[in-house]
Amino acid sequence: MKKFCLLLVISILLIVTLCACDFITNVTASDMEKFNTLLDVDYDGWTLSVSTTTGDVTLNNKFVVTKETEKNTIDYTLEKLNEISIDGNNEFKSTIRGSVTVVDGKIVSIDGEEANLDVEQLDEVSMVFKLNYFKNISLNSTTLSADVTNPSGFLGYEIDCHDMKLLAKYSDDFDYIKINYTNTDGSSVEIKYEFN
Amino acid sequence: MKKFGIGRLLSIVLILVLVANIFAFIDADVAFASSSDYYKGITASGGNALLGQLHDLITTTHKNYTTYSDCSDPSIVKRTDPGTNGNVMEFYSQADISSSWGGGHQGTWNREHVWCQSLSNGLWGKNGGGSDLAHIRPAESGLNSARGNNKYGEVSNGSEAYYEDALNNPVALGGYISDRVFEPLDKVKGDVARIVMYVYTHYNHYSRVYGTTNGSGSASYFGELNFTHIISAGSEKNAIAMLLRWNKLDPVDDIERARNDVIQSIQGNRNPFVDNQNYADMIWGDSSTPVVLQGLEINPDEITLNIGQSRKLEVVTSPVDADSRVTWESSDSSIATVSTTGVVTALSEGDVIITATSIENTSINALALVTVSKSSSGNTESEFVTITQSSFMLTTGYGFKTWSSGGIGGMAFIYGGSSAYPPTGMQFNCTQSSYYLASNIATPGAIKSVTANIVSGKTARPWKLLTSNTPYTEVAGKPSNGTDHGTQTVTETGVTWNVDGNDTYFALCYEQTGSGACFLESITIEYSNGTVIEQPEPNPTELVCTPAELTIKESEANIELIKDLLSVELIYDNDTREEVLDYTIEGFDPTVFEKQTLTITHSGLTTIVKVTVKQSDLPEPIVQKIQVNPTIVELKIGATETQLRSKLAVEAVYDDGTTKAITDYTIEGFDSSKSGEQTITIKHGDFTATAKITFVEENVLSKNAQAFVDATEEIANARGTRQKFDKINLAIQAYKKLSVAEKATIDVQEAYQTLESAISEYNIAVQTANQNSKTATENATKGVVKVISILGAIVYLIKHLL
Repeated sequence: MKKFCLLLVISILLIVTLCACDFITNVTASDMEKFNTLLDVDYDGWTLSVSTTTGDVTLNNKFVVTKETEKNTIDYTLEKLNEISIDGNNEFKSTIRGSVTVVDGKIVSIDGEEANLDVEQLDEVSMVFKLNYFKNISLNSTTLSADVTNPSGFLGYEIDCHDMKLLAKYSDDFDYIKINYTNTDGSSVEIKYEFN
Repeated sequence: MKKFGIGRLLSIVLILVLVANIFAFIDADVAFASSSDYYKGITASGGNALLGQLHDLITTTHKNYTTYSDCSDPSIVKRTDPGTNGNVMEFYSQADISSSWGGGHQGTWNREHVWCQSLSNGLWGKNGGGSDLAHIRPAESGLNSARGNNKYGEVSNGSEAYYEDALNNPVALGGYISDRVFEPLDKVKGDVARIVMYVYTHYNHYSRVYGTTNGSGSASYFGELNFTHIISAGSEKNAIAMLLRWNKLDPVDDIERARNDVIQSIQGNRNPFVDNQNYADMIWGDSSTPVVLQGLEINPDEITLNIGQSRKLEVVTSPVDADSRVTWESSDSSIATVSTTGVVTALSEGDVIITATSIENTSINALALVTVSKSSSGNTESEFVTITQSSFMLTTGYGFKTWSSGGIGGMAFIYGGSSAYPPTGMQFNCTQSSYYLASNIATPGAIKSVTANIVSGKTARPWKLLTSNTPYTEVAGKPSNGTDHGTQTVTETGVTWNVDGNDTYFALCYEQTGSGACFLESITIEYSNGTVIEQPEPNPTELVCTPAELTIKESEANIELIKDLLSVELIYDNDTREEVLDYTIEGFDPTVFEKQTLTITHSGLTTIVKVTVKQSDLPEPIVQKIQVNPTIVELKIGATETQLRSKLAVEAVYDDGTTKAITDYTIEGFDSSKSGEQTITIKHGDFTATAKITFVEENVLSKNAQAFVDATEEIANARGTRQKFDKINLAIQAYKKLSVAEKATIDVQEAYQTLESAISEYNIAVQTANQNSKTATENATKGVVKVISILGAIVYLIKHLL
């Protein structure tokens, strides 16, 4: 009986210790600040995947960006549902694939065809990792997960949604950042930025 | 050695699982404390000390400032404001309303700022106090709009404001509105009062409410709030009196107590006025006794003006802190007019009586005699303005306070005293080197002399007089501009500086060095009446309109009534203001029932006002006839009346040209037992219409037609979007196989209509799914990586391909 009790106490202490030392408690503002610097890393390329689920349908869009010395290439895959027509040959879903080349702010080719398109210069908005944007933060040397309490502040633009969650894997730079949230109409979104 | 049995091993595992779960349940963010624990640090028994302690408590425990999105999140609002059966409780009526977020549509709820954004002195919009769950309540959108930015108050004969459904049917009464004042129902008054007191206590800067900190909230959340910002009661005292009255009239109930617990679990703090209903009286009880107006005076009560001159009259109440709101009236507006703010403008020679009548008690008024002269040439009669302690807005401590008397005004760096040591007369202490009193509103004529008197029994002190022809402004230290008329020692018997020239502004500067307070009894300014001052005409520089927004009923939608509700003023380059009535308004369309921007123009200047016309119920139209479509119907033998009704569309036609579908009609002459043609009569009240029915033998459908009908019926059994697509597609393929004759049969036609409906419904769902995907992808491009040209290219792809 004594040995059993001793074993029990040791096991409890082990559980507590293991749980405690793997993750940082009392996450600080400077812990979060380092993720802002990881956003500034000059990645060789990245992939943006967006999955949107409305009811029982999920649509997936993907952009794979490859950076080269003098140009950037975007390989894209976009899904959309097709509307039904009584007169047409109906397909449930269309998948659009292709590749775009961008040089100095212009699209110079789309799917192999020449083009000369100025593209919209977007304001430089970016995610901001700030401690008070999150709660239930779980952080260790490779993983950050949290509930986002201020989606608009975190993403840097106005958004009306709820239950936003963040999961990021990193080392010296980001492996990926994954964000999930639910829109006010009940549809759900998953966004994943994967970095090369 | 004993072996370790399976039973013991299982016990250990179970205990370890239990321990792990215990850790999981601890919420690191907000520790829930009982209500009594929350207040254990409150030691003050009342007054400003209690107010300060409560401010510090509710701001320092406010750990999680919720967002505007949180306030519209049904999952949160169902917890803070639960109704029955999963609904939400609408704030003003306390009736159930669907919990779904309606985004402003009639019959759904949206976010009600109990303390309106536009009356928050610029402190909040969608954060801080503007998204505090203890403040924001769900209100039906139409009722929210009707309340608008009206202050709370008590009205008589107010029009009823209802929570209405999407079809404008009244659901529940929410309050009363009259003259830009909203009165909630008695059962909600206490809730309103306790929220207003919470907001006042929380979001006033700590220096204003005797606290020591604002907690962790952003500095921009805190500032200056007065109860009169949100309560219509004439004075701060009367506003407090009303809130204390409402607090007692509608005591705290279990709904509020439960709400307070939920608020704490989310944001960390509580509303103390819910937890202890006596706090309100303990803090404000002594200062809340309503001040009853006894009498009015106008200052000055006798003036002479030249044609074209203006002068502002002031009202002095007895007692001094009673409700000072009055209406002004001129006995002869051809001689002199008077504005709603008491500015008299002389138009032609003669005498006129100006009357100020109390709004609180219309049996109390005061009179002033205004004499308008043709010219002032050679007339050196003097006017006198006396400045005393009653001319000031004094609070505590020292600093700049404004004064106003006899149509002129200015500021003083003066001592406002404390609760223990109220100031004696106009008190200037020598611990600061910069005490002075000066004017920034000109005397109508040149200053001839300035006299100052010390309070009887107090020590004489040295003062210097400066005069100028430009307004004095607040400066650190003493003003030094203008003409120096020298330093004299002011005694209780008074000292006078005689002034030549045309200056119309003065500054009296305290010259005592070292220590020594000065208590001035009064300062009298003598100025020339009728002296022509060679000053340039002031130029209007700005046109302002109050209020900046208003909501009116459809029956009130006309320009004249809008003008009655507005106060439009010209601001001049000498900082004077003048109310104007002869302005133009453009851009108003009484048939538009959403917010519209109107342009107001006067003197070449423009400003805007935003007006919303609320559509009111139209009088009930009268039925003129009924009509039926189609008038010729084909049915199978044996068809039921129900099947007949499903084919008929019967409408009532009204005298306003509108129509409405009706179902409460009877059918006469219907007999489906034999083939052939029949005429049936449809009756609705006193109105009738006819239709012809042809009964045909039941056909047996062909194999292909039957397959099509079956495929269409099967669509309703689809589970999920993909199945629905497949089943609709099958039905379409089946339809394509039919001959012309098969397509003409009744059953196939009915099935085709079903198919069309299903396709339409499906396509709407597809559009929604595609739009959601496009929006989410567009938003995602705003996120990360500062490679702007790449993001622009992705945006291009989304716009053109999705």
